[in-house]
Formats: sequence, structure tokens, C-alpha cells
Amino acid sequence: MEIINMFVDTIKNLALESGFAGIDFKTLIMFIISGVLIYLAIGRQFEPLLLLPIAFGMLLTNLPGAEMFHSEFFQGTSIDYGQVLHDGGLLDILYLGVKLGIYPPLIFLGIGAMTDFGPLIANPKSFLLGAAAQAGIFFTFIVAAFLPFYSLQEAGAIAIIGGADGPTAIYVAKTLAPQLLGSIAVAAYSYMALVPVIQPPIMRALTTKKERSVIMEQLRPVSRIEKILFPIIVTLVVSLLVPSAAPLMGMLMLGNIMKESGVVDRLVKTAQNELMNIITIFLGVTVGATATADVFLSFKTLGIIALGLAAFCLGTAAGVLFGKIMYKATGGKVNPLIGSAGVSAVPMAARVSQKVGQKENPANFLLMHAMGPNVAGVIGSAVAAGVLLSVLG
Amino acid sequence: MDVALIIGLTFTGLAVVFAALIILIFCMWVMGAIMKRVTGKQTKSPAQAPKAPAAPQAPAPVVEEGVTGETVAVISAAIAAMLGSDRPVAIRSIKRAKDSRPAWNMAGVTENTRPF
Repeated sequence: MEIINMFVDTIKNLALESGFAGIDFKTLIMFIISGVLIYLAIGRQFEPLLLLPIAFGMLLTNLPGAEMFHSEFFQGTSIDYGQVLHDGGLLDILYLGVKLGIYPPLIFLGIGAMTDFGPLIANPKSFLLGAAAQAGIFFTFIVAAFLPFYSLQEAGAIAIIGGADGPTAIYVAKTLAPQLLGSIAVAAYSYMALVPVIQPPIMRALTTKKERSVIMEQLRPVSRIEKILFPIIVTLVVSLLVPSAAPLMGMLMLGNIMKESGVVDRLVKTAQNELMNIITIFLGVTVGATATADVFLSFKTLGIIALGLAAFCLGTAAGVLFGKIMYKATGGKVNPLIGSAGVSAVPMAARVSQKVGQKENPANFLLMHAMGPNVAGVIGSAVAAGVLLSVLG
Repeated sequence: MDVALIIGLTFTGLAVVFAALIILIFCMWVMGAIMKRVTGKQTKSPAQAPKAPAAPQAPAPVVEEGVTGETVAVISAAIAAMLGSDRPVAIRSIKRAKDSRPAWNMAGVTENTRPF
């Protein structure tokens, strides 16, 4: 009898401690949402490299009883790192890379090692288009800041979605609004995947057929010395002007100068492949882990989804409109379609410019011309992030 | 809801982004101008020299059997592209490289002797 009693008691205790006892309505909804995101990542191939780890991290963090992530450890101004290391779960410890600002700059290192700034150096006017598209960030900030339920910091973190740059958005959000990090990351990466759907209607609405058919003249060849001096100059100028952008910009340009120098091939190969992949996995899983049921299932998340879309649309519109200004200023030499590539979703936005341009004139190859504003947008969004961090942080 | 701060931040942010990138445009333009001046000087002096020995007639390269004329043209084009238009080059002969060592042995030697 004793044995049977003990057996029943043990089973009862196990059942009470199991996750099933801890599931509530909100947990189930989070499971369904992460399931939808996993489908979007795998089935529809929406930026799977990041969306899949994010979606799965969301699943892991909402498992009751698993204690893999404790969002309460990371709230407040001063974090008790001892508590994190002692009582934290796996995702708490990996999240330190996000909280301490390590992963996003390292991803930028890999991006810099994969980026060719040639088209930008050959046509420096593209910098202006990269700057204009960042207006999407600031106009969204105005809208978000005037809404009653977002603080200024949260508005800044949401606005940076308009930069269309995942690591930049995460870097800003983890400082300004860590409680919204999960929602912001999901919104940012989903919209980046939707760039081919969001941008063309706006581009067509704001340009005339004549403007869209402009064929731009061939870019001049860029020498190796210029490509080596470029990262140094950009790092100096941007970091001295906006020091908070230095980690992102510095690592981006480090990756680039390593690639252009041609003398550190092994390091470049690692930065492009192994390093990128490792950091991507850690970043994705831990960012997804911040999307616990209590922070994700709120009206703020719906607002982030709406404002994120607005930010992308405003950025595209601002870029195209500035492209029209340049078209008029250069007497018809610049095709306004490349302006939308200032939204720094590399290389997706440049390919969109190419496709829309080719619809008008199949012989029009705008891709290389659009890469200029595209990579300038990366620099522009990092500067914008630096400004937001230094004023609001 | 500090309206002044919000509007102020927006305009400041836009101004700083544009300012930073305009400074960069200026730097790139200066760099481009300097590069053009430096390479302009280099192409000017050799421009005088090649006028005298215009296209020296080189004898056709001694080519190993089995190498088609097309391959010779491709190899010549590759060499010309690699060396640039610095100096005229004449190809004397084209021979197949002998398989002195098997590929795996070569890979092992390279791996061990590669400087860290």
C-alpha cells in the first residue's frame, strides 16, 4: 500500500511541477504565434536566417517551468549580473551578448566583410539618397511619440525599424526599450522580407513613366586605394560626429577594410561565414526569447506592427521624392527609383529598384546604381541610431 | 509629452544624418579628385613613351601541342587583364604545367607551411 501511495504522490508532484500545469491561455497564443512565424520562415522563406531562430526562441521562452529566460532580470537601470549568472537559464546567459551590445556590432563586422562600397564611392551623391530615406525613421518617431501609450524611448526604438536594418534596430531597442525588443525585432525582419511587396506601389505612385525610364550613365571604376581609404574616412567622420554610432560603424568598416585590403583573407572568410552564422544563431534565439507572453500580447505590439509598416513606407517615399529632386537638379541624369534603395535592406531594396526600372525599360540595369544608396542607407541608419541613442539614451 | 523635444529631436536627427553624409560626400569627392590627379600624372608620362615603340611586333608564342588558338587567346587576355596597361608584354611560350606532385600532397605542404 505504501508503495502505491508513494507512487501516486510522486506522479502527482511531477504533474504539478510539469509545464502542462503552468500553461494558460496566453501561453497557448504565444505558441500559435511562434508557430505562424516558423511557417513564414520555413514555408514562405521570410528572412529565414533570423526569423527562424527568433520564432523558436519565442517558443522556448514561453515554455512554463523551463526557466530558460527571465525578463525580470534585465529590467531596470542596473542589472544584477551576479543574479543572471547564478540563477539564469541558457537564454539569459546568451542574452548577455545582446544586452551588452556585442552581437549587433559583430553582425555588422560580417556585413562589412560582405559589402562592396564601390558603387557608392563612384557616385558619392548616393549618400544623399541614403540620408533622405532615413527620414522615415524620424517621421515615425514623431507619430509614435505623440501617441499616448509610448514613452519617448519606446518611440525611438520603434522608429528605428524604418532604418530597415536588423542589427541597428536591436542595438537601439536593447538600450531604449528592452521590453519591446522581441516585438520590434519580429516587426523589423518581417517587413524587411516584405520590401518587394511594400516598395513597388509607393515607387510607382510617386514617379512618372519618363522618370522611371531614365538610364544612368556607367559608374567609373574605383581603385583599390580608394576602397581602402573609404572605411577609414567613414569611421573617422561618423564616429567623431556621432560617437554613439561608433561601435556599429567601426565594426562595419573594420569588416570592409579587412575585405578590401586583400591581405587577411582567412579573417575575411571567417567574418563572412562562421562568425556571422554563430552570432546570427545566438542573436536570433535570444531576441526571440524576449518575446514573453506578457510583453508581446499587448496593444503596444499591434502599434509596433502598424508603426513599423508606416516607417518603411515613409522611408521609401522620402527616398523616392529626394530622388526626384536629384533628377531635376542633375537635368535628368538620376533615376528616382534608386532613391527607394536608401531603405537599407541590402540587397533586397536595390533589387526592387532594378525590377521596377526593368518593367519600364527591359534594358535598364539599375542594380549597381541602386547599390550606392542601399549601402549608404546602412551608414545613414547607423548615424540615425547614434543620434537617437545619444539624445534619448 | 514634451512637444519641443520631439520636434527638436526630429529636426536635429535629420540635420545630423544629412550633415554626416554630406561631409562624407565631400571627403569622397576630394579623394576622387586626388586619385585622378595621381593616376593622371602616371598615365601622362607613359603616354609619351609608347608612342615611339608603337606595338612592338612580337613573334608568335611557341605553343605546346594540343593547345588551341582559342586557349592561347584566352591566356593572353587574362595576362593582359592582370598586368594592366602598364607595359607591353610579349608571350614567348605556353607549356602545360607538369603534375610534379599529386594535389593532396601539395595541399598538405601548403597547410603546414602557411604562415599564421
